[in-house]
Amino acid sequence: MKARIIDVGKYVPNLSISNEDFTKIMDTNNEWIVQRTGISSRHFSEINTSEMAYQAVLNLLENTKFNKEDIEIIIVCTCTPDAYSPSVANLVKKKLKLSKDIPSFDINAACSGFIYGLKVVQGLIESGLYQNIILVGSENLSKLLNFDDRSTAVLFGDGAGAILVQGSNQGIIDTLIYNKDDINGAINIPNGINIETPFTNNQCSGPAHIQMKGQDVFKFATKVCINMLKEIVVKNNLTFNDIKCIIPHQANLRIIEYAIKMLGINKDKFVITLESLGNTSSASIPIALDSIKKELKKGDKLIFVAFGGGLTYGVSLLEW
Amino acid sequence: MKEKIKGIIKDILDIEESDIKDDALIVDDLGADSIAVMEIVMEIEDEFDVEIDTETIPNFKTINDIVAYLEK
Repeated sequence: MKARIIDVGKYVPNLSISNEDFTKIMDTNNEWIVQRTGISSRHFSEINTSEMAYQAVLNLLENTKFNKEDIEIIIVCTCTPDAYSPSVANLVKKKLKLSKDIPSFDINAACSGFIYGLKVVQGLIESGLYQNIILVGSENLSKLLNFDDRSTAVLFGDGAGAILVQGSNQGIIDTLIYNKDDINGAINIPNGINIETPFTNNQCSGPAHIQMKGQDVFKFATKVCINMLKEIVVKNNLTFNDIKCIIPHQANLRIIEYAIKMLGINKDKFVITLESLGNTSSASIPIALDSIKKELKKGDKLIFVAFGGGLTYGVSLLEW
Repeated sequence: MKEKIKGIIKDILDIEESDIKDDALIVDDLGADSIAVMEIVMEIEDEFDVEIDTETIPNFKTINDIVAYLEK
């Protein structure tokens, strides 16, 4: 039994913020941003992560005509939850008003979250435990941006993507997930809630903002992206000629272009959506998948590859 | 070594090798942005089989700086 992606849905907020909009609030310009990132605009959400996830699931259910009562488990990948508890997945389930108490939970592997989620889904289906799983990547990153930091504020956008995964005779072939220690503190969303009790030596921390060391991220991301793509095709006795398309995590065009150059693969094989969406973390791969699903035929082989805070990284090879 | 480094910089920045003077500032004179600098460093790592800590990179103002680092 394999885990097959049946269909995908998405939610992208209406509010589009252009590079020009950023020039009104900070010292930057369109050329600077486009040259370093490939990003021209991104969407910011006025609704939180769980509502975006819910909207993506509704879009998925509409696309598939799948009966929501047949969902057996809901998993949401996110590093930007509404709250510590309940989880985003709990909130999505509540919004769906299901008649049964099916399990739901979140996975946090930052921008690699969707690949980690696929690995869990793959295991749950291949083991025979579940047959109908909803996996969502949903992120409201704009709430974690430091609008005084021009190097990170322009990179991220909000959005959500959801997939229905069912047991089938074809589907996910192989998924590899890893975690490398972030020695240099390349990607962080530090702080959160302070320790403040009457009994402890309290240390107040600052606001929770995304912090990145761009050069460390570039080095990590390109190396693992190149190595994982090579690893998964070799491990499965394939070549890149056998792959219809590769969907990389949409972090930065320069990362993707460097990987393409070093791998010698035709750029047309890579799905790139970041120009108008920015980096939507764990939502970037399902949103990109949604953009090309009509071009896919049964049996096409795809690769998803992602890297992110943690430092997490992962790759998944599947048959459509 | 210096010629190999110049070759790497020429390819990444897509400029003429004759424009790459030993004491040219890689960022200010040759037009490399921070990601291009990282690309140069990564290619140097592969070419010379060394690991360069990113904390060191701000010291690489010119090709002479890189050569001095590699010769240490």
